[in-house]
Parts: sequence; structure tokens; C-alpha cells
Amino acid sequence: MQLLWDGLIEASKTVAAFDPLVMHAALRTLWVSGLAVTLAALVGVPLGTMLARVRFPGRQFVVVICRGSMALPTVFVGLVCYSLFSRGGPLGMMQLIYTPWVIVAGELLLALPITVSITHGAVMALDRRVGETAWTLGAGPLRRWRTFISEARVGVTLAILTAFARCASELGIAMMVGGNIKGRTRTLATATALETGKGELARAMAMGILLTVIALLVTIVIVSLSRENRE
Amino acid sequence: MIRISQLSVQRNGHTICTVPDLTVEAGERVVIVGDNGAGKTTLLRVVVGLERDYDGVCRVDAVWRDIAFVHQHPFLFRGTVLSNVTYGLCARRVSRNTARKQALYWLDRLGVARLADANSQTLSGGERRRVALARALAVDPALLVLDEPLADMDDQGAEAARTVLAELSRTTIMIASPTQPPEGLATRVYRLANAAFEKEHSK
Repeated sequence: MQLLWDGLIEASKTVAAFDPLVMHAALRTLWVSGLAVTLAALVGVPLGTMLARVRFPGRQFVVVICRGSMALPTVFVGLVCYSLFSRGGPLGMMQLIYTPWVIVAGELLLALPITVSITHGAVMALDRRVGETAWTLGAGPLRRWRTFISEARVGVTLAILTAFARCASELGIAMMVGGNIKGRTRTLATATALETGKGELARAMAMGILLTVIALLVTIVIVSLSRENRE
Repeated sequence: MIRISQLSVQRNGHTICTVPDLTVEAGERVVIVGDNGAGKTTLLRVVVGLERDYDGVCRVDAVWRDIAFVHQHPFLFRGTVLSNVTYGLCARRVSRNTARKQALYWLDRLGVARLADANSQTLSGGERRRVALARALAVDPALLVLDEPLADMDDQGAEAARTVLAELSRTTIMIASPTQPPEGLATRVYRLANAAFEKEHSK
């Protein structure tokens, strides 16, 4: 309890003082995870909708793979990215290792199964009259797709929030391919791990609280944007 | 407009709808009556193309965009009543102004223009039906297929809907609910009961 209290005080002091290292880590967490989740949503939401609405051979297999991939350990994803982007890897010539961009790539791999699976579930759960009504009113495939997303917006919002929460708090990818380099690839999660390793528990707690607050704020913004009365 | 011959729809070994012969000419208004579970809705779904697993012949001389269908329990999309009624018009790339005018016209004809800006999820059952009917009429279909369009409506709403339906010159095939007799609506009435299909009377 004392540790939590010390962490709260430390977090307040850090924010009030605009500690540059912490602020940079917080901003980096936001843009790296935000970009990864945005890309995952742009790809995953249409893909999830397609999986729910279009029958094709092997569809059920794809659904099972996506759902299983939601539980991928972040260190495993980090390892896969390392093997791809390290100097000896097939994508080594891009020289992205130990840059924020490779963390984005790794978190995209983490977020994609989440956005696909939860969107798929949300669209599958829609009343069949949604598609029938849209079709009988003359809506083409693109307009029907937009209608499904709109009607399943609660589930789609949840998919995006879940993906963001997983990415913002992940440690394995950022550590393995980012390297936790100060001012370059350090995120709040890796900074928390570093401060804990140094024995600076209050400071580590402060980072953790900040990360939680950021996640809450993002949740509030996204939920507000998707509210019904914003029609 | 519609030619049905030896139509039979089976599910799990049971016959749920049988229509030996039905022809609906352009401009006719045909009403189907019958007991619950007789297969009336299934027949409409075959006509509209939502039900494709059947034996026999069902030929409709209209492309899918010229057919408008209102479900037995209409589904309204999230949003306002107006956005619902303009949905089909927007799908046909009608300009926003024209779509709005068209939508308001039909909402007014059906006595629910005051609900144009209301949230579609807050309407009563009768209001939902009138909005769904306005939505179908707004796209100016060649063939109108309606499943119990007057059910759940109060007297005022039913009267407005009846007036609109009775004045329509487009081909219409509809199911009449038990509480709303088809008088004044139909040029022909058919009864579907125990999977048998027979003409009741013609106007």
C-alpha cells in the first residue's frame, strides 16, 4: 500500500515537473501503439467483417487461427520480429531494428488478430435482418459493409480498445526489437521494467500509473467518439 | 411481373410452403392471408430472393433494386428516422436534397414526419412499421413486398397506411395480419393454410 501511495506521489511530481524522459516515453507509447492499432484496425476490421459475411473454403480455420493468435506471447512476437528485422534477417536491409518502426511492426502483429477476431464476433452476432434490409434497399457490397460496421460499432470499438490496451502495455516486443534505448525506443512499459530493475520502485510505480491513466484517457476518447448521439 | 409454379419449400423434411400456381400482373395488389406458420413469410422471402433453397419456379420480372421489402418485424438502422428513410435513396446515389425531400414526403403521407429527427431505436412498434414502409416507398420500387404492414399500428397509423397502400399503382404483394383485414387493399386475396394455397376472392 505504501508503495502504491509513493507511486501516486511520484507520478504527480513527474507529471507536474514534465519530466522529459517520462514525457518522451509516454508520447512514444502513444504514437507507437496508436499507429500500430490504427493500422490493425484499417486491415483487421474489414477482414473481420469479411470473415463474418463471406463463405470460403477454410474460413473456419482462419477464424480459429485468429482467435488463437490473440493469446500470442509478446516475447514470441518480439522474437519473430527480431529474426525478420535483425541484420541477418530477410528484412535486415531495411535497418529498422532498434527503431520505433520495428516496434510498430511487432505491435501490429499483436493487434491484428484482436481486431479481426472481435470484429468477426461482433458482426456475426448482428441480426440477419441487417444484411437483408440493406440488400433489399439496394445497397451494394461497400455500403452493406459500412452498414455492418456501423451496426456493430460497440464490438468494433471494443476491438480497437482491447488492441490498444494490449499494445500499450506490452513489454516483450519493445524490449527485444526496440532495445529500450533512451530517447529513441523507450516506452512506458520498458521504462517501468528498467526502473524496477534499478530498485526505483516508486518511480516504476509512477510509470505504471501513468500508463494506466493514458489507457483510460484513450478509452474515454474512443468511447466518446463512437457514442450513439454523435450521429 | 411474378410467375410462380409448383413452388415447394422444405425444411428438415417438412413442407413449410406450397404454392401450385400464382401469377401477379404488373399493377396488381395481391394479399396473402392464412394461419400462423402457414408459410406466408417464406413465400414472400422466395419472391424477394432471400430464400433460394426451393423446388419449382419463381420468376420475378424485376431486378433486385426495383424490389422493396418490409420485414414482418422491420429492422431500423442506428441513426435518425430520416437517415433510415434516405438509406435506399443514398444507395441509388440520389442527391442528398432530393433524398431528404422524398423521405419527408413519404413520412408525411404516413403521418410520422414529426419523427424525422428522432432516434430510430426509440420508436414504438407501429411507428417503426410506418417508418419502414416510408423507407420502402421512398425508393419508388416496381414491386413492393410487405409482410404484415399494418400490424401493431394504432387506428390513425393504420388508416394512413391503408390510404397510401390503396392508392398505390405499383405491383404489391403483401401479407395481411389477422387483426387488419385486407378489404380495400387487394385486387386479389389468397389463403395459405396447411401448406395449401387457394384464391379467396378477387376485387
